[in-house]
Amino acid sequence: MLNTPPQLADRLLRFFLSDDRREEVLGDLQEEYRWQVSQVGERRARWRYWRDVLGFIKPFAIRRRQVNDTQNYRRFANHSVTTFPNPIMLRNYFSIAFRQLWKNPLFSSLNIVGLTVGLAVSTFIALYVWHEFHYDRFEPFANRTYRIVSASKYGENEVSFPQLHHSFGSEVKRQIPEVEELVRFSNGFGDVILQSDQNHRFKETNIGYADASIIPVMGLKFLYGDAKTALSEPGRIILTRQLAEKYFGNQNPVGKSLVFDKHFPLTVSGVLDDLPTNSVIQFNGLVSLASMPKLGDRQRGIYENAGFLNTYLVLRPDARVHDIEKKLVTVKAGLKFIDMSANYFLEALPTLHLDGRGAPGDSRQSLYILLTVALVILTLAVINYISLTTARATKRSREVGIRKAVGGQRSELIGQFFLESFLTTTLAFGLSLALLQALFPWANHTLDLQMDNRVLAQGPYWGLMIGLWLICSLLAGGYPALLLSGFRPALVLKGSTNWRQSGAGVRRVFTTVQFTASIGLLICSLVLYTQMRFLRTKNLGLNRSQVVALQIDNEMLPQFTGLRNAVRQWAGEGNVATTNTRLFTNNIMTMFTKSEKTKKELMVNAIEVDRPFFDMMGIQWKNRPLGWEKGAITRDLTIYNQTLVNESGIKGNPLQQQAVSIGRSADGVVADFHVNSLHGAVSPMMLTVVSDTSRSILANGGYLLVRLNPHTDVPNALDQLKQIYDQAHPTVPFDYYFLDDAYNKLYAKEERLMRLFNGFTALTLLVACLGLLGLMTFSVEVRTKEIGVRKVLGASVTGIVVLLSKDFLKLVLLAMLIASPIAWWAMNQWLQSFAYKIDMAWWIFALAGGVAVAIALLTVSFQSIKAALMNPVKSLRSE
Amino acid sequence: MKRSYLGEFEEIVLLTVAVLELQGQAYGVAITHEIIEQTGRSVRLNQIHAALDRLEEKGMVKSEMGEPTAERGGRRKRLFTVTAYGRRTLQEIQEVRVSFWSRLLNPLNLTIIGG
Repeated sequence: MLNTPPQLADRLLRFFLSDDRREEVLGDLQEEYRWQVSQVGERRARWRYWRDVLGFIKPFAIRRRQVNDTQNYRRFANHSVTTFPNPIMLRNYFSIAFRQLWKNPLFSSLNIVGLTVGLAVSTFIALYVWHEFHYDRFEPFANRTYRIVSASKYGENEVSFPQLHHSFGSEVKRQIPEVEELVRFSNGFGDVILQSDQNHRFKETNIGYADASIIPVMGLKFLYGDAKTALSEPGRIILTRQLAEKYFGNQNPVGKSLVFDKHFPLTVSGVLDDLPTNSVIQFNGLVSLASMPKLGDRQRGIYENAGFLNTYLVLRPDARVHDIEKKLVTVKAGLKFIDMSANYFLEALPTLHLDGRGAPGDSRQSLYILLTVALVILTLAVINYISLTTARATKRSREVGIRKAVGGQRSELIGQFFLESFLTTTLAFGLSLALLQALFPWANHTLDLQMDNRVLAQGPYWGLMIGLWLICSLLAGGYPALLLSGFRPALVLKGSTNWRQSGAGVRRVFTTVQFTASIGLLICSLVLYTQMRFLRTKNLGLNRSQVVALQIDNEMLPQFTGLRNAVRQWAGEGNVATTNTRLFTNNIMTMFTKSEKTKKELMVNAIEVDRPFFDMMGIQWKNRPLGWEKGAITRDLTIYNQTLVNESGIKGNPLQQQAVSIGRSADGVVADFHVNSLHGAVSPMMLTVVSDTSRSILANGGYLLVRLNPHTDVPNALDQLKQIYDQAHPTVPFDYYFLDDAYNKLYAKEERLMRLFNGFTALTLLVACLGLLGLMTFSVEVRTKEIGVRKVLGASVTGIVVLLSKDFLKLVLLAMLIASPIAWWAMNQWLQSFAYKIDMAWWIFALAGGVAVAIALLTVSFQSIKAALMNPVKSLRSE
Repeated sequence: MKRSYLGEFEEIVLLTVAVLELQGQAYGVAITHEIIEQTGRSVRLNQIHAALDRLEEKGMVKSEMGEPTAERGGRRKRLFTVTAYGRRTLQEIQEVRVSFWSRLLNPLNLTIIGG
């Protein structure tokens, strides 16, 4: 072995060196090596050999010899001269590819539709997830802007409040030198009436308050007005573009006056461009915080007494978050309205949306779930393409055979099939792009997502699309290309049948995977639907159907009695009730207290109602207060609900027991009823029943509940109600909501999830069926002759249909077995978030399986019946 | 007169081919060794192959496979010969140089100044 050069180097050289140079180069290298061995010894010769080999990694050596001298033509006898990107062959590939698409419209459209839908949907989901993950990164100081959160302990529960009193922020800024900038922001309290002139008077939500520093810190962009002074003085308001157009049309509104809450004129000092959707800072208008105490009693009351401001700090770059958090505790001393036991935390601005203490804990998880679903859909679509293409391989096997026989290289065939998949995916890609652009606003609206068209103009979107496109082309093209190009020309040209088996196993796996996914999603959809139905129909302990809640402003106190009497007259005495609470929303007053008996910390909902409330809403009594039947009550009564009685450890007759530390003992007890969503159990509740003459119920505004007759024409009834209301000289426009609607809105998130899953289920089923249809068509084509022979020998139509369908049905059944436990587990997790939930009954799984089998059968039967009915003479004659 | 451009290194390789082809030895290794010997440059095999490739593309040399020899592991050599076009190009280069040299009165002075 003394004189052999390094083998590894040789192998490397063989790998990259063009075939036609191999002999001379290897020869030269070896001759040189021998000479070097004799000159400098073997060890150094080996080194030189490596150096020389590496020296050949040059474009010229990798390329074939390019010689245009015709005299040398005979040299080419030893090797082929075609190179892959050969223009003539390329043209041939294109024309073959188009012909293939054109000649098999069914297959092509199945392929393209499947891919288009898959791409469009998964891109949409990916966009949404990307949007969710990129909240608040654009602000100029985003990496050192923090929100203060105070956390206090109530018994077992730690409750965090991001809203703080205004003095806290200013003290922090004054006392802690590391705080560079302070932004206090609130997005307002409920509705506010704005008016620019007689014709432009509307009720607005999200009219917020903020320090002037919000403009530079949150990077607000102005269309009109001066960013430096826009909020620097009291009495100024900036509007978003949308709101400005609503009141002032297209003209520049800067300097114009806008009346706030009927009495308080503000000057418009700027108009903002549309706010970025990926920010937790959302508002429609912004009033300078300094003007808040001058905007009426209510606003002043809030300003002076309430913690309502999200307080953001921009820290110096060298500040340490942990140190600042410690210092915050010392700041609180000497301030009003601050819980002395509270701890303070800083949350970085970009983390607020997903990881903030106020954010729902499962938001990250649900995004990952969505991403998984997107991936599943994309995979299904790609799988579809692969299985359809390989199934059609039989048709192409002769082409492959011929190409190979006339000298086509395997690499060329691989190139050809890649090119074809590239063409198809490009077509699908283009279509999905159009689809996405067209359906984007609609999808956002239907799914209630906070995104707008601007997302489509961003770089990451295009990056994502192109990335997906390339990956899809490669994945979808890879397997067919390798499989088809591997055919043995001698076998396929002879007509040997072994190609029928090629990839059949893989296709079977693919079909199973597709149906597993669709059956799994189908089960999820069914469980979601049943749970939602359960929530809608569950007896809440009060009758919420056909109840209108009419909002009464606190300034309407003088007119209230008259209005109520008028409504009572119109709707009937027993159909009208009053409460101070917006039922079925999260704004229910809650008291924190301690039971004296059990020493348990309690969070008690406190609601004020009038006497007719109980009968009108159909609430069941456990213990009626003494003298309830006598009619009008003379003093305020305190009513507990059953849960409060239980939680506070009262035994025996509650009416004779001492109270919990709230201080008021029970005059009566009612059965539990829900005023919030069924995610949680009924919380302890204390109702105060006030007399008709009481004013306290309207202290912060209240609601007149009116039950409409079951057969009333609702729009008409609302019109009449509005007339009655308008006759009472109201201070605010007519406003109402239906308890039913409000209750349903509590499940908006679940509703959205359900709609998403319904969509996904439909999609995966569609894709799976497209695949199945393709495979069935193929399988029937292959077995035409077999079916003919069977029919001649006396097989019945049913027999043949069963024969053809059997294989696929087995796969669907297998998919069912795999999908059921997975879906059961996933949905069980989801149901844990409800205090009241359904049991997942066997019929859900049976139904999902049944539907899947039915759809699969329908898809398959389309082809199998056609095949079974075919005249055997025809299929057997054609040779 | 227009002709295709020939680099200095290419010119040397072409000349070497012209010399060695008389003995039928104008192939990679032999050319490399000859150039190293004559010019003292450190030349590597891949450079010679690249230059020969370019020369062949330009049509200055042509080549054919020779007989296999044992010292090459039984592989054949690619033997190069200079084409008529290559010869003419060499001659033209030579003529251009001679005509410039002849116009210098005292070539030695130039060497001194140049040195």
